[in-house]
Amino acid sequence: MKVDFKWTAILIGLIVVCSVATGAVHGTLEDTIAQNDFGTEEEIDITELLPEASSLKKLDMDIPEDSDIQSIQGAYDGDELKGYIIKTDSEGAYSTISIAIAITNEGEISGIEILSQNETEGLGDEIADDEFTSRFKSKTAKTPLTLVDDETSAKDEVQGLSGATISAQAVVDGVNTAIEFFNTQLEGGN
Amino acid sequence: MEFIYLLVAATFSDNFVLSKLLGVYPAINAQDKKAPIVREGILVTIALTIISVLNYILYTWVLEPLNVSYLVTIIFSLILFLVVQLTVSISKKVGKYNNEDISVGQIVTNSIILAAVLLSIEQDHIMHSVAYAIGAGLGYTLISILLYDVMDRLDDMAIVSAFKGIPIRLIALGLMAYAFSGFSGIMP
Amino acid sequence: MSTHKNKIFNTSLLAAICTGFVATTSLKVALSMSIAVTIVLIITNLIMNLFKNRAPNSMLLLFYMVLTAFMTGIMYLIFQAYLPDIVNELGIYIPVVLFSVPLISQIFSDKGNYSITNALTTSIGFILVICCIGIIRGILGKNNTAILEPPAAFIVTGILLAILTGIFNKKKTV
Repeated sequence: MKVDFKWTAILIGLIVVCSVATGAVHGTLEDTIAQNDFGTEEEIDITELLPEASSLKKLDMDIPEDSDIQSIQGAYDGDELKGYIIKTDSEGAYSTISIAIAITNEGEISGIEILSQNETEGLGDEIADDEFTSRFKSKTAKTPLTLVDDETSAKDEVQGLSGATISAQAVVDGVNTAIEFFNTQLEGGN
Repeated sequence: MEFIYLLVAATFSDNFVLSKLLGVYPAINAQDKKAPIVREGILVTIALTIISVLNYILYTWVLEPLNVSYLVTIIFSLILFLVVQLTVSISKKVGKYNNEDISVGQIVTNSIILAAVLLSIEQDHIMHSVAYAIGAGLGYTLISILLYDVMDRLDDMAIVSAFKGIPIRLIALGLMAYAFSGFSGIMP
Repeated sequence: MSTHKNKIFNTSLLAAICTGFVATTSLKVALSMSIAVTIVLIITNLIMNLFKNRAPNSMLLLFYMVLTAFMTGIMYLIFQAYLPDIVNELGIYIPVVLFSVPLISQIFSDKGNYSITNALTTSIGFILVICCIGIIRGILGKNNTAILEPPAAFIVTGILLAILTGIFNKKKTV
């Protein structure tokens, strides 16, 4: 194949023109793009987890390196601290389960949300359903929770899922990691 | 370990043709003999791996530091053309195939290449990106060969004429995709 | 195994559909993707008119690829700016489809030659079929999320193509 210098030069010119044009478009659209959220950080529906709060702010805290805690956010209503959103990872039966736990200042769990999981379809993945996550509502955050088989109203017990014991236990473990952190590092909200 | 994991995942459970719906047309439009199918698959795998490595290097060490990562498609199109041109002409010289066997156009239109490159430049290590590229190519080759065998049998059957050709192949591919989704069970 | 000649769908349109049906999870996605493809196709072919009778033949494809890549990059930026939910859903499939379909329509067409008519016929057929698949998957997927999974896309497209072929072939024989 013989090289055609004239057209090679034109090609290079075309590439340069195209690159500059793309750069110009990128420059004009950059601000609009920056405003859009592309789901890099998992969305947390704060009105579901902590209805009293209206905004979240990431807290800069020392998290031990071997800890399963991923991040801690303070939940505010205006300037007033209402509680914390703690994200933890927990090993389930087949996958890492990522959980967001909302704990109020009074030391009560106001809700949890499963951010991501890849457990067995139809069995373990029920941990992400509202029916299971709502069982954590208004449980205590002062002592670790235990998983029980039957329906329970005790503040430190949570009813498990039949057929998905390992996955449910993993969620409880994740929540307990957050509770422990809440009591030791956040001093129970005080 | 991560290398093998990515390789197996891209070949089976995350197969590009079946679970990502890429490279469907070249896979279902295979020729009447098995040898060119295998040859095309190998060529795609080799070209894809080289393109991936070149793109990874350019992206992480040139485009990103200069803050011009949006130029990735233009860079990619140049590398794609050159590498495919080169691999095809080398393979023709080495293998002495006739010219109609494999054309440049056949390979550059394979959407797996761009997708695998865009996905592999996000890997955090160059070896992972290589594993991903090889897996994608192998997965494509596997599906083309499997589909050839399925079609070989289907051709002898009485099929409603409207379904002949592409439609029945798409449906066969769909059923194959359901079967392949079982592979996700072997991944940890 | 012989490739059956299909009367209403020419090869380039079929190839484009097979590449594009990844973007058919709903009508909105299908419509915006196929319109974007049309824009890329038409503008690229318009610019190619400047080169096609002058540049050496071996370089035409390279010019075409660079131009397509350039338009793809710009369209992807526009998607990121104004249609973020589609970017969230499709991710890298947007550049993949935008880049591959014009290339396919060029390379697989019998009388291609970087002409506007070829670009127009391919894009009209592409919009119609892709939107059909989008409507079907969108409606069925509301009650049954399995339809939105990749395997179902193959089957829906296969059956739709068969039905269209059947209808058009019947008209011709009657």
